[in-house]
Amino acid sequence: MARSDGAAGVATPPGVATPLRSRLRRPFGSRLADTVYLTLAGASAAAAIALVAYLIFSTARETSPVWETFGVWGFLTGREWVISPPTGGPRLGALPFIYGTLATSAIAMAIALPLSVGIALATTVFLPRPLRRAVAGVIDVLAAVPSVVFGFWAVVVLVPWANPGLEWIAEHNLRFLAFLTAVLLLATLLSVGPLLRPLLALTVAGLVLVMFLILTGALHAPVGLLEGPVLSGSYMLAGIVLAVMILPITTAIIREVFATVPTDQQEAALALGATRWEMVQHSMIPWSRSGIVGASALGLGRAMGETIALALVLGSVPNVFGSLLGPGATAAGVIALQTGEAGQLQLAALTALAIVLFVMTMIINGLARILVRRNAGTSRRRRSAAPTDPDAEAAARADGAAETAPAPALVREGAGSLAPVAGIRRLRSGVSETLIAAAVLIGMLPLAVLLVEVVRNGTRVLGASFFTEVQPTDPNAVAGFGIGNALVGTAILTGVAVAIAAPLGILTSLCINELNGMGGWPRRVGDAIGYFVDVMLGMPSIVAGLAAYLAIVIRAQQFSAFAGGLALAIVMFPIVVRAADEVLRLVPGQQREAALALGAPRWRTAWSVMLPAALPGIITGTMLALARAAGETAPLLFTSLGNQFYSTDLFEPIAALPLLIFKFTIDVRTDQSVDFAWGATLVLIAFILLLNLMARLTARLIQGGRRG
Amino acid sequence: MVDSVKRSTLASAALTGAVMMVAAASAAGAGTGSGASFPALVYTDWCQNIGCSYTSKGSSGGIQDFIAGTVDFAGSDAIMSSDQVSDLAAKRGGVSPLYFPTVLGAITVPTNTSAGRLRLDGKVLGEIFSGGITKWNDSRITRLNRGKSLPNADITVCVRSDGSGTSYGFTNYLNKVSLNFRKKVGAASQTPAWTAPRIVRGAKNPGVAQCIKDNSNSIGYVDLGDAQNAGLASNIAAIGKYERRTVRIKKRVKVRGKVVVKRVRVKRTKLVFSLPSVKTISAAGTLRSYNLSNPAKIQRDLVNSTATGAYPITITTFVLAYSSFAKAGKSGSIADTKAFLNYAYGAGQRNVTKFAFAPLPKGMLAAAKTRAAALK
Amino acid sequence: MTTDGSKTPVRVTEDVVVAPRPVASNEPAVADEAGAAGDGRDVPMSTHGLSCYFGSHHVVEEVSLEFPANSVTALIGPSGCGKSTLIRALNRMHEVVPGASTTGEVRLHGADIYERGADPVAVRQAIGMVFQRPNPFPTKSIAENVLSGPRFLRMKLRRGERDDLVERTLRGAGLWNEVKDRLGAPAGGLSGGQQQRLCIARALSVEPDVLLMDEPCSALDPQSTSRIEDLIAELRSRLTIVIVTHNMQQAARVSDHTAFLTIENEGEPGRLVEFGATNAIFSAPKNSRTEAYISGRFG
Repeated sequence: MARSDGAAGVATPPGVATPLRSRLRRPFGSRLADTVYLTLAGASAAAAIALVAYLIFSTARETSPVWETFGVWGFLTGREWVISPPTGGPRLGALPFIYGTLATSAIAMAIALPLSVGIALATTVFLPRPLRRAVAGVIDVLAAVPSVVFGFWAVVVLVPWANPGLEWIAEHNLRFLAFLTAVLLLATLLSVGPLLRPLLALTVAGLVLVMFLILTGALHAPVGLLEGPVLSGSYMLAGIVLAVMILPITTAIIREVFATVPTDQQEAALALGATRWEMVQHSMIPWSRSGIVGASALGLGRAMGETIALALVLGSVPNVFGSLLGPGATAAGVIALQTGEAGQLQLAALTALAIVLFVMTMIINGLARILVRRNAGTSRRRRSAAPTDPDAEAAARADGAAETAPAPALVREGAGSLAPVAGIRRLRSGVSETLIAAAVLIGMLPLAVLLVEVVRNGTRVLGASFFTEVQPTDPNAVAGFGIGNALVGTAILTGVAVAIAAPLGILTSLCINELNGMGGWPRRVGDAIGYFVDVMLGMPSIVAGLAAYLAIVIRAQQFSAFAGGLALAIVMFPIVVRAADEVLRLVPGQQREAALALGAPRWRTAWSVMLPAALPGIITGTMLALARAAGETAPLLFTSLGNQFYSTDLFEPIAALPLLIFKFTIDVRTDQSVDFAWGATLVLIAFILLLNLMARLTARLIQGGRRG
Repeated sequence: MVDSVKRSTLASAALTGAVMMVAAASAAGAGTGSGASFPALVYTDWCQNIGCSYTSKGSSGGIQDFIAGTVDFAGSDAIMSSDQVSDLAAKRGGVSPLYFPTVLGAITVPTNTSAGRLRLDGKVLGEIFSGGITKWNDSRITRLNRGKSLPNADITVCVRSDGSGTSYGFTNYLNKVSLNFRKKVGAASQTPAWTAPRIVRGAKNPGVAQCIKDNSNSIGYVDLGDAQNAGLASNIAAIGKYERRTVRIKKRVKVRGKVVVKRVRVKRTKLVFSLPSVKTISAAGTLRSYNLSNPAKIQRDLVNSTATGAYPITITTFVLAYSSFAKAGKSGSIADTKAFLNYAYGAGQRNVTKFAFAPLPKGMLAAAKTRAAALK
Repeated sequence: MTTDGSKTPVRVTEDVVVAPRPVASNEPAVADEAGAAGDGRDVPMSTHGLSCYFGSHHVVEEVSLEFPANSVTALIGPSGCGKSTLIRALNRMHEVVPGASTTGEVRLHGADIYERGADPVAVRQAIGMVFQRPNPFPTKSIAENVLSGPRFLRMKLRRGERDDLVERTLRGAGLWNEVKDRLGAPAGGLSGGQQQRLCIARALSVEPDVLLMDEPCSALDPQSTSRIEDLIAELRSRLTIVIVTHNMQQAARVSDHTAFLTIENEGEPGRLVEFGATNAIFSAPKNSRTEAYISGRFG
């Protein structure tokens, strides 16, 4: 109605009245909105890069005394860590910590990775459906257990239980066991090898060889790597604890990767008459290879950055090339233990160690990226006219050469028979399924024990006052006290972290997305931002804490909830970006193009097409990041400090659940305080679990609503 | 006055969690402390009563927080090293640290061998922790423990992985009693360069206690409260020191040309073993007056005290304060520090024994009170 | 057989050289009659009261059909009538979907593929399948894709034999000339039509008795479609083929027999309405609904 009035009033149609040129121009407001949107997105991405750069810079700046005193090479190869020797200045070297970090991570990965793949396969393919969900659920819960709990549990439960075993190993030493390990690893390689690309297989083979040499003591003749005495702290033990800790994370990721294998790929193999194992071998694993590599890199990064648990079970003795059954120390562990108390040169050396650790994780991330890129490359070529891949061709040729068995005429054995497949195929599938079942049992056992322990011990102290009262002062009289102040503290800390990380993270992922859509150099910039985010993702949380300590606590001369929240935000940010980025990528290009073709400006496309489509994924990602942050202990130790009382002041020290657990298990330990800590653990796990559940539920609701 | 107001505020606030949230502001106003874990139980208990918050992170951590000015008051068992003192001066307007002793406590030496409670003395401990004695059946140990069969096993030495005032106190003691230890390991330190061959490190006192429990044939040093909490009470070694004691001996004396055997009392130097307890700890602080300007001497006098019945490894622990809060740029902290010290030297002294600590000796308390009042 | 004209290969090239059937095959009846136009005398596969379910949802009801040897049977019907479900039930791919189940029998050379002791793996080797969307293993090379079937069967092949098999099978699928220079390239690099023919080659590499094709051309352009149709015509001489298609003309062009399925009302299972020679169904449908569907009045 109004329109026809207008048309009558103007007398000429607006299209004719307005000059063409101005019709092709957008109104200022719309252009401004686009500029604001792109600026915001760009600014948050820039902030991310600036943050990483600042972290590197601000930490690097602190390290100059180290290089002046010891020299770069001298520090990296220094085998001693003596803070106050009887004569002369401190003698500080990084080698023991580099060695300790690599040794524990290697042991952990060697244990955790096969188990993770096994459990992930079991929960996507092999287990009966109801069991799948149960096992996956338990794994998800355990991914939420904060590391301080693992560490404490390891000290009081695992050490007494595992040490006799380690002693047995030490006694029935060693060459034998080393040989066994090598054989096992080689066997794994032989069975998995054909699935890997040649380069990867070579790398793995090389690693196995090096491990074999180390294990047999060839690299350092004087000390066998599996020699006694077995002490309460050891690389082996730390590696095992680490494996238990990263198992839930790597399993969860690999499971998600397997879940993305398209059904038609699985059906292609099944329809060809593949057994379940063969289907896994030929369609799932090749498809997921890059994802598994990514998960491993993430797990490895996590293992290398692990602090508290390792500081507790490794013995904190800086050894180089000592026995794996003896004590050692890791970079992250020593940073966590000594940062809060180090002065001058020692702090500089710890910071230098943080940089070394950072560079190590960066290299691993870079390697993983290259491996993933190679795989992504092959699938991306699907669309373009494929240039011949010399690698694959070589692989095909090599395969051909390898087959030397005499060949019968091309006959399908028992053709037409519907009887079960026989012989070697059946055996292989059977063996594989048995191994996978074993992986589930072995992997789940310690986790299930831990969970039972938490619930059994934790429920003892639960009561209404447990949630409202402040923490006890006397560890021998905890009755009537509670975790109220820590609950409030954790809520505030994670709230600050979300408020910082979520908007920045989502904007950054939009920025990457826009840049990727542009192609050319902006795309490369987008890739670079993605790499920075990945580096942050692999960055040990202790480094985030250290940065927040140096940048805020020292400057403001005040431990504060804000500094703690910022440290947690640094931990959360890359997780949010990654999650948002992944789902934004999944928004079909057509939807976006449809909006753009309608003449929608960029910001509107982002706001009303991209974001709503990606929302469930973003919410899930944010919640998971939040869950991760809620369990962090190490970065809070020297940022938010802790508080005996209720506090809501952002600029005062504040309590937190992980800190409280740390206090009542590590700072003081009595039977009562330990029970109290179990209770706090149970609440923390429940809290994190609740977040996880909410994330999943929200995602499902939004998706469900959309489908319906 | 302020104290009582705060206490009553808190008492009423304790009724409900919601009200406590409101009280949080006032609680935060009473200051934040951090540092020494040795007296942490006592300090958190005191803080509970006056509304401050104490976080135990180790003496070295306390000193760093003190230098960085990130807390209102810091606790330390250790005397700041000269580096730390110059660092403090550089960062905090040229101030120097003041030391306020708060309580006396004991560092215990639990062992884990098949022989149960052992007797050890300073020389032997010095050798064990510097690597001069590596086997439990070393004659220098067995000589002190006649009637006990000690295993022919390597000694595992459990020490701290973090910087610690307990380490400082223990090495301060070993320095005084063992020349070999002083030569090999050096002066008292929060992070000693132990030279024993087989070392495992534990985080904090409970970590060392756990280490002792987990490794057979081990030895370590832990504060009394944590040793008791870890169930190591019956493993705590009795530590020997030489005391001038009056002993009765039979003596041949010539009495009017005749030699008779007579019982007489004489002063003799004797190796006396004692276990840590509030009584034996208190016995170490017997000087009439203490010079608080020389805290290192206070610590040195307390260990291996000549006083009768004193436990040899007795230490005190300090609250650190700036010589001038204003110059240090921490004027906001002076009230909180004073409030804490006032409570510590008043009502606080009365309830330390339940945490296995002893109150300050009278001479020390008097000096400390005067000094606290003069804080500026 | 009214559509003879369109069934003649467009051009006769080396592509259509057909691999000889292996001598040791133990299906003499089929082998002996290789090349005969199937008119229902020899029936390698048949269904007997086959019903399919997803959970409690009844999708296909009581379908009994015979698939004559060396002929192409088309399954047609409106969307949702269960024809895709039906074809997936023919080699036990239906049960791969969570909650899916069947009742009734599917006989292959007289043996029920659903009987106890029948291994789905063995069933699927004997009854190959090609899917709606081409699904080659994208990261494997073209040659490796062809060889993946024999690999599952653990056939021991010398290098020469492998090359032979790859060439023979790819020729059989009419793909050889296009890819012979890049057998080592990843299969992901092929065009959609090429990928689909590669999938057919992959299915053929294990010499199945029956080949099931679930709308094999629906994702392809007309040219690729016509190549696949030519290929089906070639394969027909040595295989029993079942094809699901939406395309009426395609059904008329490629098939010898046609089965029409439909659902009467929303929520009811799909039922077989009419089954017969393709020319009969298309020229003189007996059932009014068949007629309506074919003439495009519904569906």
